[in-house]
Parts: sequence; C-alpha cells; structure tokens
Amino acid sequence: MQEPDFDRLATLMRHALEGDSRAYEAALREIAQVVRAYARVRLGGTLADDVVQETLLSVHRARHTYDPRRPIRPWLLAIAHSRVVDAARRQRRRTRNEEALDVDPAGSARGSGERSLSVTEALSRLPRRQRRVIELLKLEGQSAREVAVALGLTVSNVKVIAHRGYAALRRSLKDQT
Amino acid sequence: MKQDELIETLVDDLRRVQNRPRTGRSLATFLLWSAGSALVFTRGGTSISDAPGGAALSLFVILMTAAAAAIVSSIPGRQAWRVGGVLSLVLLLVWGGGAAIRAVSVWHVPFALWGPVPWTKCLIFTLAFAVVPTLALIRIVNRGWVVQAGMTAVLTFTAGAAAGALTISLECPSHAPLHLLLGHMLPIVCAALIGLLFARLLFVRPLVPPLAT
Repeated sequence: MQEPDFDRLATLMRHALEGDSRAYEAALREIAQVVRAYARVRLGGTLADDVVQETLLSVHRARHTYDPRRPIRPWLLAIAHSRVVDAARRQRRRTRNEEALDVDPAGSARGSGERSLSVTEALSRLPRRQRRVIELLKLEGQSAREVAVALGLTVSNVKVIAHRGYAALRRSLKDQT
Repeated sequence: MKQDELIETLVDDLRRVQNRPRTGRSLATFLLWSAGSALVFTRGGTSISDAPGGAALSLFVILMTAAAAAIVSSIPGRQAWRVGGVLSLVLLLVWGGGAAIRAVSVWHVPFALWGPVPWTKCLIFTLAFAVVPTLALIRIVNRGWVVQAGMTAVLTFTAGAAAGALTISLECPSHAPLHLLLGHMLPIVCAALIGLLFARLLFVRPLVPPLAT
C-alpha cells in the first residue's frame, strides 16, 4: 500500500478549516484510507469499516481541535486509536455476551446428537428489525438512545420493538424445551 | 450509512468552527472560577496567616498541574498532558506520604495527631468548595475532544478537589497530620474516584451523524 502523505493531508485539512468543501472531501477520503489501514492492522478486516466511519465522524466533530501549526499525524492517529479501542471493547463485550447467552454448551445436546436451539439461532429467526435492535441493545451493550440514533427510530419505538422481540425470543426458546 | 454517503453528509455540514481556546487562557479561566468560588464561599475572609504554607503550596501545584494536564488531554495527539498528569498524582502521593510519616511520629499524642478541628468538617467543606471549580473545568475540557475519558476525568476532578482543598487549607488552622490526610487529602482521592466513575458520561459524546441537508 502507498505510504500516506500526511503533508498533503495537513494542507487539505487547513483549507478545509477555512471552509473549502472540496479540500474537506479529499481530506476525509484520505483519512478513511489511512484509518482503514491502521484499523486492519489492529482489529482485522471485519471491524475496520465501523472504525473508519466512527473516526470520520469524530474527526468532523473534533476538527476545531486541529492546530494547523502542529503535525496532523498524531492528532489523527489519537482519534483513530480511541475508536479502535472502543471497537475492540465492544467486540469483547459482544463475544462475552454471546457466550453467556448461548444455551447450547457442548455436551448438553439432547437425544441422538440433536443440537438444541441456541439463543443465537432463535435470534436469527426474528424479523430483521427486532433482531437488529436486540443485537445492539444486548450484545453490543448500547443504550436505547444510541440504538434509536443508529437505526433512525424514536427511543420509545426501540423499546416497543425490543419488548416484542424478547417475547418472540422467549416463545421460540420455550417451544424447544 | 455507507462511507461515501457519510463523507457527503459531513462535507455538507462543513462550516467554520470556532477553534478551542488556547490552553493558557483555559487555565486562567479555571483559576478565575476557582478563586471566585473561594471568595464567595468564604465570604472573602481567609485566615491566610494561620494556614500551613507547605500544604497550601503543594495543593496549588497539584491544582495547576492537574488542571493543565486535563485541559491539554482534550487535544487529540498531544502527549504533554501525561507528564502533568503523572506529576500531579505523584505530588499528591508525596504530600499524603509526608503527612502519613508525620502522623507516625506523633502517634502517641492525640492532640498533635488530630488537631483542634474535626476532620469531617474539612472533608465536607472541601467537597462542597470543589463543586464549582470542577464543573467549570468539565465545561472547559469539553470544549476540546477527549480521547482518554478515564484519565481526563481523574485529572479534572483532582484539580477541582485540589481547588476546594486549597480554599479550606487557607481557612483551616489545623496542621495535624491525620487531619490533613483525612480532611484535606481524602476528598481529593474520593473526587478522583468519582470522576473515574462518571468519565464516559461526562466526556464521551455519542457519535451522531449530522442531519443530511
């Protein structure tokens, strides 16, 4: 991969801060490339896209803290690093929750080797929106407000969808026991 | 949202932003808030002549280093805050350690150990006097962009509580080591722990994309 040109990126960012939207667009595209490479090294490919998007948002929100007289590299990588750490933390929490939720531990299979239904499988049978809401709430540990923002819903809507999802999940698991 | 859409939305949302105030100016603002709150709460009457000068000086240095480190930590990529942060926490430990050593040396003399003023009073007043400076510093720090919420919160609350303890140490006539440890230093430690507890709530902002225009 081509070595990122931080001098060019700094120039673009300086123009962007003066209100040049073309320079800003070019800067964001370069930042996306730099951050994708950085995140891939640390987290692997699956989470890199999430980290890129979150970093772009953070850069946008934090652009007032960029000082054009200072090098852009530490500024950008500090923001990217914090997003990588957050993503890794979320991933750990998700894995832990999935392990805790899994009701099909090895060795508890019923009858002639038939696999019992795990929560993960029951979850996958839910309608898409219910599944997504429950995944974000319970597996990624997001708040109702964060889920509402991510999915473009109201908070009360999220709660209603989650409530229906839990009920469906309970029914689905009960049918199997 | 796809990356291209996100970039388009962010570019549409581009407008001139006010740069964060310089660190020196932010620090001066914090000191003004701290001094103002000290004057208001003590009604302008401090018995500085009775104050233990060493303790007040230590607290002032802790306050300055912790506040400067907290403010600098809200600029992504600036590493200088680590030095200030470590320095303020080491100073706090040294100050507490000094009081603990003195406490051991006067262990058998209750009056010299505890002093004439109840330490609980100083503890409560220190925490009360810390409220305004801490809130002011939280606001100042949030003008930047915090990437390490935990340490920033510890430093912010340490600086705020040090401002409260400094106000109290100008008022309190007691130099007794256990009184200093429990009445003046313990609230700073408690405040730092409270900061750690609420770090993400105070300093991590949800990443909401701007509304597409």
